[in-house]
Amino acid sequence: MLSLAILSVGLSVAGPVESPVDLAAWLDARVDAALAAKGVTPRAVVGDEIFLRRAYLELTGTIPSVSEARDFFDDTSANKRARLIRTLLEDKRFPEHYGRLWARTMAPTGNTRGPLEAWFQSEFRKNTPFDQMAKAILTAKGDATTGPAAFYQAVGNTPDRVAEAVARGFLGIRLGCAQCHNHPFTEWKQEHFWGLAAFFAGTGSTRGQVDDRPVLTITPMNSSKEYSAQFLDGTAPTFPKGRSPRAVLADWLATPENRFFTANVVGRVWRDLCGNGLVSSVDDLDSVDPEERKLILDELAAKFAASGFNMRWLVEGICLSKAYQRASAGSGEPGPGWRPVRTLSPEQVLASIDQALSLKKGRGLSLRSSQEGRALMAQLEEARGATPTDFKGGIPQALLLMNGSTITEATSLDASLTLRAVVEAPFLNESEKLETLFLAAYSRPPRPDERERLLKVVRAKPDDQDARRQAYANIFWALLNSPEFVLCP
Amino acid sequence: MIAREFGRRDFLRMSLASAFGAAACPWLPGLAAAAGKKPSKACIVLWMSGGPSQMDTWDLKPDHKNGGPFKEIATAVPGVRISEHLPKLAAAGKELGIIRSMTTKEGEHNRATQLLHTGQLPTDAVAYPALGSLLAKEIGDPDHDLPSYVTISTRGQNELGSGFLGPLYAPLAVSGISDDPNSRANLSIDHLKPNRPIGGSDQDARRKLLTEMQDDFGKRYGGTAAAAHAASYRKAQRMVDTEAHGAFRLDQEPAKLREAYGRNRFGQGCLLARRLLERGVSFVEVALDGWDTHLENFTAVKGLSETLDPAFATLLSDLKTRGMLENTLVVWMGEFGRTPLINPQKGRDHFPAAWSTVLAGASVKGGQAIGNTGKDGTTVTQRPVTVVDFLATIFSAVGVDPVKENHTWDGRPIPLVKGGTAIEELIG
Repeated sequence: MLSLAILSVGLSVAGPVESPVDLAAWLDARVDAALAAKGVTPRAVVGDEIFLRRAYLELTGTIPSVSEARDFFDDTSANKRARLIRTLLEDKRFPEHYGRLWARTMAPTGNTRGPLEAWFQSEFRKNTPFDQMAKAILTAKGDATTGPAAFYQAVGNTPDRVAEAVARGFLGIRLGCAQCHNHPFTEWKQEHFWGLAAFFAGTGSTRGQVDDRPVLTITPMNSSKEYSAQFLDGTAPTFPKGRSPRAVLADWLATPENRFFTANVVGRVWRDLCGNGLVSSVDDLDSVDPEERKLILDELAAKFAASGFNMRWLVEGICLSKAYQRASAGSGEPGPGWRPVRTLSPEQVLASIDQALSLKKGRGLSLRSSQEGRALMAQLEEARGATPTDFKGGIPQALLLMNGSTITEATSLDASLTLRAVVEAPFLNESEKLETLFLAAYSRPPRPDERERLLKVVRAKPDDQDARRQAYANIFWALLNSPEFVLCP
Repeated sequence: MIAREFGRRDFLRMSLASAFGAAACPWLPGLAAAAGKKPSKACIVLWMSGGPSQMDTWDLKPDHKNGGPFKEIATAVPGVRISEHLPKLAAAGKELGIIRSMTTKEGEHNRATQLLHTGQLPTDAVAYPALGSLLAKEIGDPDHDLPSYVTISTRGQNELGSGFLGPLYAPLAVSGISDDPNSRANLSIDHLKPNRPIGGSDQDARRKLLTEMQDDFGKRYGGTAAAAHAASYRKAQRMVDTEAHGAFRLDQEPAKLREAYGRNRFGQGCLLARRLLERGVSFVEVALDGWDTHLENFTAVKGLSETLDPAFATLLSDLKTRGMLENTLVVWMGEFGRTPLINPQKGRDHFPAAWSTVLAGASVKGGQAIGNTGKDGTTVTQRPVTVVDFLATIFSAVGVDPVKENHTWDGRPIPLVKGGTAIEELIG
């Protein structure tokens, strides 16, 4: 059951910060031990092709271009995976992708997430320590359409909404239902929820602004009971003169000692990278068995705090681990031993279509700015799964990819310059043309059996030049519509 | 330990096989044939997203200060009175089984939405299937060209789906994107045809290539996501082949009937629901959003009632005219009701303790109001109906035994409804 003792003395973390390589080795030792205890043999480390696609999707939010894929496969050095991870962490797409991820984590249902996303992106670009980002959000003031104050606009600047978002996004605790009644499963009471909300009682009085009026109590609508600001562990804060209520909350919340804060970050980063949580739920850390947390999560959290809340350090260490690089399986149990086949997020699908069709760099408009792109995004949004393994694409999404203008034009020899450039390239033979289409869509060359089968399709009518060219178009269409394009093994 | 050996993959394979025409129970091949073709049951849920105010729709308290400004009117059933803003439904009172004594324990939107659709609160342990998926499996026809379960305009139900039943029973979502009232009223599924003309032989070639790639990926990596992807494409292709049997051609309907349903997304959604049922869909959920009336409740509920009343009443009469009502259950529900006490913003807040739902059609005995919430509406004083009682009534009304069990992939038996007793007075 829940322990309300949120603050812990913490594990001893003295000494110099580990390198990401050390972190990876530690993770592997822990994960392997956890698997051994269950009598499970770890799965093999994946080959370069799957590793490359994973790393691009999870660090940059898109698939690699044909030339990026070729460069990686051509590289014969032993440490090329480590080098790729480092390169991608320094790529401008990494902060863009992480900004989107964290804006969504903090404001999952918000329609006005853009400014918050932009702020997170600028912070990830600087690799600002995560505790500082959290403090910046918790104490932000002023115009709610820019900077960290955009968080308040994104969640709706009322004390209850802010409290709910802060508890879930920063602490991994869902308090939402304690808003109206005592939580049915855990020990959260209304005074916990409204005690947290009271810290934000003075933020929303001016439209479009985040204020800092020094109010310390709150009376929920439809109630006559007044709640005072209190920390989630039930302790009453002290308010030094000149320190705002929110600053006092930030001092308590975003610290190395707050084990919900630290564990929440590493738990979410792990799940974003590996597709499956280190513990059974990233949104309900309070209901996770302490024994389960002890296996890896709590200590990883302490190491992250000791690194100075260094996000790139954490991401790099996880990506370097064998645990990250292991083969996936269709089903398994929650926990670090199972790497699921993942469903690409709506943003990843859109960016990958852009990349595969060379829409961004080549001619043609990026999908994001086209009407059909927005329609696709809206449909993908409606079908967004609750976890990285859900595929809820459904029939409308399938129809849009099969028959919508983006894919039909991209796979039409009359309309697609990209496709024609490949099909009509005089310096590519049939096999190389096929390989280029595979690299564009799948980021890998065809396997021997695929190559053989598809070359037969291309050569079905040896004398009909048009049929031959059309065969490439058909193959490209099938690649873009296939499960391998929207699922990441 | 048969269930253990009979894993999820086998289950899916078997279900997929059944979708291609084999019998669903391979060891009982003669049974379905022997039973003959029974009249198929169907269900339409009118989902009142946000939590509708029972005090201003079905259970008014005109003599109490909680009652608010709305007046009561008589219905076709002596003694049963409802809101003045639902005149057409009042006239259709003989079809309605009004339940005024719903009592539930969840007042948060997402969790309550889950509760009303599954009978369970969200849990990480088991992904419970939504009502539509459960019924799609029981009364749906897996051989049919259209999916058994269709949702119209149900935003924010992302966590609801087929759960452990798998992608074959997952909903097809129909949603309008435009804000233009006319185009919103013309609900349709986009992209049934390729954007550019493609030769028939190339179409076939593309499909064959895609099927090979799907099979290859499924064999290599397996997993529920791959199966879901394959299922959605297979159904999409069947929709293309049949143009969804023209279900979305609402322009084929008489203009007068379209007007009667209401030229808005909900009204036309109800009409579409009927057309989908006629084409073999078993379960359609149509959402009407906007019931979360913390502020200015009465203005909002009046407006919503003016959308609801013609749509719901016309749906009932239209189904009846076509002889479909006796096999079609129509459910009116939201995730909870609203506080009897009116707040200072003239709003009403979330209230699960005592609220209303309505059933009509199928084997429901209409023309009655069940239960009572006393003078002020704050507590159920007579015939409390819990979520599981309510769900058991729904299953019973379409001839499905609510204690029937499904099995999770690891063999755990899960009844359609856990506990709960169907409301006898309503379904006899």
